[in-house]
Amino acid sequence: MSALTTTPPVDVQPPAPQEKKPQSVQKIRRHSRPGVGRVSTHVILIFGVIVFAFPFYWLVVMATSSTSDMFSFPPRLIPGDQFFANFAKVLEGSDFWHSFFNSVWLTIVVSGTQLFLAALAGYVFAKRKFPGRNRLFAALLITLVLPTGVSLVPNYEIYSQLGWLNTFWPLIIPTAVTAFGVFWMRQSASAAIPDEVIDAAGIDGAGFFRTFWSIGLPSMRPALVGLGIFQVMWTWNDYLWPLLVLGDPSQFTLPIAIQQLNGNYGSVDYSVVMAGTLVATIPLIALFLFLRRTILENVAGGAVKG
Amino acid sequence: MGQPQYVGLAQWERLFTTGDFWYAAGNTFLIFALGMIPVVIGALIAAVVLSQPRLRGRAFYQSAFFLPQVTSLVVVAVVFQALFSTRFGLVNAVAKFFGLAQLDWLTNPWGIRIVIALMIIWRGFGYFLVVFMAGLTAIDTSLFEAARMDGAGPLRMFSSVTVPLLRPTLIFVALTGTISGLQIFTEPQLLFSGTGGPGQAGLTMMLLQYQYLGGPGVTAATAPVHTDLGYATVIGWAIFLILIGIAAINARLLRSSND
Repeated sequence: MSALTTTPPVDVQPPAPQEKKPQSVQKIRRHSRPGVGRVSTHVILIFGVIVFAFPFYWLVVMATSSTSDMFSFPPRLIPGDQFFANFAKVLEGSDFWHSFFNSVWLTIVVSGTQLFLAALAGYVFAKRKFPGRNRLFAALLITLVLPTGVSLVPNYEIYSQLGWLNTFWPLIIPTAVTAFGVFWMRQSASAAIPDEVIDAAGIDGAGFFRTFWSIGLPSMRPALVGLGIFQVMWTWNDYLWPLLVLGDPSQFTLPIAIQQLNGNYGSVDYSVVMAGTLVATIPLIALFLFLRRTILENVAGGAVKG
Repeated sequence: MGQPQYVGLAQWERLFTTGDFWYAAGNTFLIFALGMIPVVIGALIAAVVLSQPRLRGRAFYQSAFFLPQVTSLVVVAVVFQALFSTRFGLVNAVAKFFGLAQLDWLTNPWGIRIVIALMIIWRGFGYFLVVFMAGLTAIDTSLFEAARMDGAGPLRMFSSVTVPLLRPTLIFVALTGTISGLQIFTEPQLLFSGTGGPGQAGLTMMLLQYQYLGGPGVTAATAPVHTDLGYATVIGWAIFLILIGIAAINARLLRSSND
């Protein structure tokens, strides 16, 4: 499940968004066993949840313990009170806030341009007629099939020749608009914007851009939200590509900074690494808990149609 | 970097004759079998359980299982490294407590593969669960009713109604699961900072490519590899061809099972 560089990772993302099926799981009437059956189901499920939540819990325990606590036996299983001491060491030993800030602005810039440009391209592919449109779109789709491995070396070479290594450009330009984003937005534009409305806007004197801005964008809002959430997750968590193209510690994004922390402290001071890791994890977890429903709906959205 | 030189098929010949790519390919499939296959089957079963009517807390379970999916792989690797560490890892501490054998998880070749597989399972389960549950909602419920009337038990219902009707979702999951599963890279790269780990047990196809690309961390590798962009590209294409081949087999198998 590695989320790699410029192509969106397949793991988070089935194609064809839109037409959200209402969450009517209840529809499925399987034989309803009363009482004992349901209780044991919950027991199993709760056990599963505990197992899956445990690594998060353990992250909190380690981040709030001192290193000597962690070497003690039997290990202490409850969170301690050393978090601020540990986090102070993180700030001492690395440019943590700098990396945090880099991740934040990169995520905002990349997601913003991606949403705008992908919506624009998707709208044009769906609603404007021009010669070669379908062939152009097909060519775009083909690039989706190429796995990261194939494009990694040429991409690296291109940015090295451009003299862009050790700058942020290789992180911004290739993801400013992706084939996946265009595909996603085109699906939405063709389903959500009636031609009549566009024609009516034209008759009222709205130009291309005005129509796109006032009619196209608002109609594509659900797809924009979906794509936006995923782009934020990908950019925030992206690891391999920033690792390859960034060299200077002042440019590091959070995943790289944590990895460095792990390399520098890992064998010495695990609780420090964990404190940094915990802080880096919180923003996305908060985002997920906040937008839970929308995220789950979008993940599931297209998969049904295969 | 030096001037590129045309070498024809020499790089492909190298791929076929030297063992490193084939070792990495075999290892990738091994990790795939240990991680991806169990997680998909487990998620399918869990999705059926969670789709039972009148089950309370469905949204809660779904979210709890999905949460690892939004965490960075770097975080996952750091936490798993700590859990399975030989000296103070919780797993070994628990084993010691119960008087079980302690294992050097991250230096033993099978230990390494199992830890990587567990990372895949932990992070992927919620995603496949959500996808399968969406597929299940699309099934016409009257078919379950009919099967029940005809006296089908839960297992029979699963194999004769659920699985065949879930085919579009299964195709989707099989395809995307293989594509992402065979490109495992970040997990071993993080665990062993660019090397394949002890005994090269964590060496995957993508990691081998990364090593020939001269990615950071590789110079410290126990078995150093000389940077060779041409060979790295050939490895990239080889991975692509393997994926295409598997996708074709997948499509054929699923089509024939339908006829």
